[in-house]
Amino acid sequence: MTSELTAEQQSVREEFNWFARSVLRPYSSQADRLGEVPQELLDLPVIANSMRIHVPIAFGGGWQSINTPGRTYDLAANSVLRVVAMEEIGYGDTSLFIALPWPTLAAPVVEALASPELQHRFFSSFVDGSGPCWASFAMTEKNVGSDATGISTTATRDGDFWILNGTKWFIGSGALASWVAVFATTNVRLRRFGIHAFLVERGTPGFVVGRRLPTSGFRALTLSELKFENCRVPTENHLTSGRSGGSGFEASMRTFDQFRPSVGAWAVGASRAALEYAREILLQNGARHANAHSWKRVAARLDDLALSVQAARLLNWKAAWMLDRGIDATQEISVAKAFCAEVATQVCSECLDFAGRAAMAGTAPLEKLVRDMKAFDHLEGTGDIHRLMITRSMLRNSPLNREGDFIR
Amino acid sequence: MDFNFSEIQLHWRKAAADFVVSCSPPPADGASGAHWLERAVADSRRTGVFDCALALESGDTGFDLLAICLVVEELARLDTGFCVAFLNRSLCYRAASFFMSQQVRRSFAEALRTMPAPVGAVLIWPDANSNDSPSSGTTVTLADSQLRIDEVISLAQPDTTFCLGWAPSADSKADGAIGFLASGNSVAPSIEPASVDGFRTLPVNRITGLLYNDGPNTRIHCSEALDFAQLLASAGAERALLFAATEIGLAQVALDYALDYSRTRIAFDKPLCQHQAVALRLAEVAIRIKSARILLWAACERGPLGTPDPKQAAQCWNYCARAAADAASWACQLLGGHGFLTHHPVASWLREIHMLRLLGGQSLESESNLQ
Repeated sequence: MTSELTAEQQSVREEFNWFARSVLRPYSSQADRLGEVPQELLDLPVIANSMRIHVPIAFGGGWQSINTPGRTYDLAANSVLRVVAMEEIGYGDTSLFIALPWPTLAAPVVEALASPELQHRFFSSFVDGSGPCWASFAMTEKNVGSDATGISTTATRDGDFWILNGTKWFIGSGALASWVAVFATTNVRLRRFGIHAFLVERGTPGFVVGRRLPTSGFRALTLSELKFENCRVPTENHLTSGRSGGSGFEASMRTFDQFRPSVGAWAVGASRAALEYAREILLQNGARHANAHSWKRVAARLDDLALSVQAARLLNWKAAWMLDRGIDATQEISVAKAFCAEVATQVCSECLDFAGRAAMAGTAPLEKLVRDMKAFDHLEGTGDIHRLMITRSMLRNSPLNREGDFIR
Repeated sequence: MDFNFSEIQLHWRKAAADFVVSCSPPPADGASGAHWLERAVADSRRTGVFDCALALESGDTGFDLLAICLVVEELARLDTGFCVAFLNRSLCYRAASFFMSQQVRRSFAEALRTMPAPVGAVLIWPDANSNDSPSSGTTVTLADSQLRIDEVISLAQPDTTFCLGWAPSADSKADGAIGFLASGNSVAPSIEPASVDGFRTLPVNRITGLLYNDGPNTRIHCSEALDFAQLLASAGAERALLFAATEIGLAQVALDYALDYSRTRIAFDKPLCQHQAVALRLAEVAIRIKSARILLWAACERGPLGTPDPKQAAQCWNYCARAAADAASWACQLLGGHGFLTHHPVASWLREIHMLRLLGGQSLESESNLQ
């Protein structure tokens, strides 16, 4: 076993560190204040590159290297590369990054279930140079979150169309999206087996953007309510077409598995940033006033926190590494995701305490990090849901089930 | 990055797991624990597990600390006393391989292989800077073919036949130490059991004035003046990680036990594990253990000097010790009043984890090294 990064992983880390420092951070507090992505940022040429990150190479995607012209990194297909990159993004500003135009979680669903023509149309819109393009993933409803099998948005077949009815909540970039991957059920009682996925295009009759939902953190990201009122979706946009029902739910679960390590990586990156900010402030201000004994204690605590961050990073890397090899990583992913989010919350909160009033200064946005941090626990399944999944998995696979394995 | 284990690592982990399965469990009463330990050690020598540090060192791939950690974690399932005896032996050999000449190492390896009373291998660890350490105050002098250890509380049996260690020399300055390696029958004016409420199978004794006389039945194989700081940094790093592996092994076995209990114990008309609060707690324990374990695995990687990074190892051990203590404490809590009874071993695992923290050089001391 080795935790050393390969040359390729190291290059990706360096490029995304540059992206975080030079592209995200300068606009971070402005975006937080505005509640949207500043237009000047959207006008930067590098945004066209960032839109390609989650687009498969086959459709012209991938991150085009800045340091090595002509080289493309396939982040969509390589989970380890993706988590290495996403940690740097978290170090910059996660909320601003996910508010930027990109295919979001809709990409893996489209890649897994859409027809080749629809895949081409969908992915082309992110690489054809026609300007910013957003997509959204619409599963959550007002009363249905972690238990996604209980969604109530309905889908009814009507000739060459499907009619969608219902309301989705907490949809990131929903108000801006040109494409929305929507999950709806043909029969509520069938639970997971009744769930189908649809790709709804902006402008489809019956697709209405509702109100924006105010949040304490992740303010650059627009979270919206999306309404589907007799929304007529052509059958070619039915992402489970040609398959039996239920594959929509499976696809969504696979998507979550694929993206959860990214959430963990964002949390790790943000924790790293918080530690760095806190050290900086303490060295500038705190150390001057603190006596040697209390400074030692603070320094030791910062070391402790850094070690937790390292553990979170390694767990996340391992989960991504397993994903890339097709090993069942569900438990590892849940462990990593729950732990990363918990560590991030703890690290940011303690760093805020250490920094004191200086944390409110614009140059050290610890206060923003603390607000943002809670989102990592909620994104892609809450920490508690992951913990329940871990325990279920342990109860199924406990070593005690192996005869003779347990000695005393 | 690569999270695969090598074939050697998998081989030794499986060998250890097979041994644990085949070995009869230690007696519950503790009265005949020492005899059980001797039998278990003899059995494990036959399978090669007990000497795997030697095998790894002499193998083609070189020494593999991660393999030893994996073995230790498996052995912790069986008995902590056994695990500590294994650690002592492995660390003796590892420490010798760091600081002793090739010739002495060969003689040491040979002595280990042929030693009739294998549990008697003792590693005396220098803790000159600590007032809390068990070996505090230990001094060693070597003169006139006689090795004298003034005072030590160790895990030795009364019939200790083998001793390897370092301690500040009575003659040297604070930064110097004597390394010694002696085998045969020692003379100890006073050997009395230390009153330690801990390992059920491994005797802990207070030995005062241990003497090795170089003669027909006893040999002082070598003594070398050593750089004290370098010794602590290099050998100490591996030692810290092996203690961490033991603690993680104990925490895992406590979690497994609590999981089983939560499946069978009914409360409010359903198994404990179906209560959400219990399920969340079990997951939290698993997460803590997994986070400590992955840190340990990463810390086993060798630095530029061929050994783990000392600071990283000390931090890792601290983290693992705390995680293991929390995990075992939560597992104990889950059993309610039963966790307090000797019918269930969870309480003893918790106690043993705390003992390992003290035995290994005290976590506070380790923390102060980090500052």
